[in-house]
Amino acid sequence: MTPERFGVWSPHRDSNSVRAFKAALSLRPEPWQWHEDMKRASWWIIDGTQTTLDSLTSDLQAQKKNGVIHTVVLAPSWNHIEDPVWVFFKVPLNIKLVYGWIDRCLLQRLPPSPLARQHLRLRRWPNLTRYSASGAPADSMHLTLACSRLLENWASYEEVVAIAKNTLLIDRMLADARQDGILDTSATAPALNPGTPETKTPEKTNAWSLVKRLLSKFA
Amino acid sequence: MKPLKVILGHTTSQQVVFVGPFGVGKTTALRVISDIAVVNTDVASSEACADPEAQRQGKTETTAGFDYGEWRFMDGSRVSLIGVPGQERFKAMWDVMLPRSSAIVLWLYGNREGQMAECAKWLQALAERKAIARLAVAVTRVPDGEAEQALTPYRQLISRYHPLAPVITADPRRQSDVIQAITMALTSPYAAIEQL
Repeated sequence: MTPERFGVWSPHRDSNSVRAFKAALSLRPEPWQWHEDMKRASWWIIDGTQTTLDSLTSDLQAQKKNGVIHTVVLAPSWNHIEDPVWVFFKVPLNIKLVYGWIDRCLLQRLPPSPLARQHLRLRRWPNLTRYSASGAPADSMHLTLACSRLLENWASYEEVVAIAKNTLLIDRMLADARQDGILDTSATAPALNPGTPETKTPEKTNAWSLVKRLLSKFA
Repeated sequence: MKPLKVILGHTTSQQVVFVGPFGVGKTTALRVISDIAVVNTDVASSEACADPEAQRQGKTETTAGFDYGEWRFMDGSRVSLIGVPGQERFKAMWDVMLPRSSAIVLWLYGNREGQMAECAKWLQALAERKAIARLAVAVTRVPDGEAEQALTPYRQLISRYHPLAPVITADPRRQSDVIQAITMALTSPYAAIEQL
């Protein structure tokens, strides 16, 4: 059985540490799904104070043949880690470290976007607060700038990813925009329609200086 | 004795203004993002006693002049954050504050009767003051999972004034939502709307 990309499993669902980790996951935008069967999960969350890892390590080696598994041990100290295949997080959890690690794991497994090498344009603003669940103002601001660029004119996928800085977030937004019918795509760079009303780009306005200061303030 | 420095006019270079109906959350949003303690002019409100939504929220005061907060930046610059009163009798404040603003966030209710008429009234008031082009609309109190459906009539109405106006659901208690609304207002590319 191939493990699900956002499937999560833990043998210690009632542990306070695992509950804290679960709460942290629920604040992220990905569709996390908890499973009773370890074979369905790509993410294994272990309370290091409640078990030895020997049997779980052999289960892990067997399950890794079916796909990538990310494994976490939550414990107050390193002493609970007996094998380097496990990633250690000290409790109480530092959410920034956890989120940073999850982001890196997700990026490693990211399939190439179907929009790669395409030119894109948005017809209207999406409801961007759907993507601000992580609560980091800087992420929201970069995503907003990427959307502003796509509203202004055609832009390549790679250009907007560079502006948004968060590939997962921009991919999710673009997928939703495509589904909502507000994203135009083109394999070649389309010329601006001469009938299009002239737009005033943010860079040309006084407001842009405030945006730059806000970015440095909330980065 | 060191002579006092004379300053004429306002010392901040830019300002962000929050507008919207009574009780929608403008003062709350301001408090969430301001770097200084918000200076406010809240007074006991008789309207609060008559408004069921305000009673439900335990709101007993309203802004009579305006609320004032600030962003302070490392380079020493400051930006005014201003919440203006929602009642029409205070529209002299709108005349003063709106034309000078860099960004305007219109906060609206998403859960009460007459919300579209209220939205239309505010858009007209903003259009009359040439304040549509730097506008973002933040709709509050939209139930989870109903955002897209709830925003559609707002988008249709607002597109008559500004084809690219940002419309989002937002919680004025959440810093990231408030910052996002402001950033959208600041960065929205806009078509020429002189005809307004």
